[in-house]
Amino acid sequence: MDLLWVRGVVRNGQVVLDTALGLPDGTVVTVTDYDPADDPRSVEPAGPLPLDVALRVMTALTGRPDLAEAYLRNRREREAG
Amino acid sequence: MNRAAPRRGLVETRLLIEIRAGDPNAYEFAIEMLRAAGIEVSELSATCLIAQARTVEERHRNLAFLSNCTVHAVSARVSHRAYRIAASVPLPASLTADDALVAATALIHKLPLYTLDPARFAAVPGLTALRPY
Repeated sequence: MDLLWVRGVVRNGQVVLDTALGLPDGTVVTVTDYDPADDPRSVEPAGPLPLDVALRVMTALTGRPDLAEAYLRNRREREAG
Repeated sequence: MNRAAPRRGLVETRLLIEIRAGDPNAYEFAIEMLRAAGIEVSELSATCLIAQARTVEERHRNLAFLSNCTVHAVSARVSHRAYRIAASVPLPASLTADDALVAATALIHKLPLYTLDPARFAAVPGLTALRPY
């Protein structure tokens, strides 16, 4: 089933769309209540974060600064060798 | 361990819990995800993480972490897709209801799923399940 995601507003009991759909006359469509959570368009991720911020985020989560130190140590070793 | 930067994808619940627990491999994967594309999770996985907190401080830490992630809602569309997945996977199925919701979230947002157990999701049509490490 193909989904169109088009915003419309009810005026005088009829759905008025922002733009024309470009569908042939006689095409049957279904109108549902708007729920932003159902929007199928892609959501951009929150990142990327700089390394220092990423390390702070992870240290705050785990409460373990030793993991950040180990990560940096491993990274230095990889880059060196 | 030497690995390529991970691409954008949905982090499954058990992997998210491993990240929270400070497993070294999961920790490194999380850092690379944060640096490369950001961490994306289902609202269900986020809820599991929050529910695991044993103290107020731990809950605050989990919530602060999630504020740096993209949390995809368990919308009506996700729920309907999960229902169809659960109803169609071959039996006997290893997929739980929670797995179906997470898989549906990944499919609807056109994301691969990072999971520690890709075989569990193998029967979900169209889903790319990847081991993070």
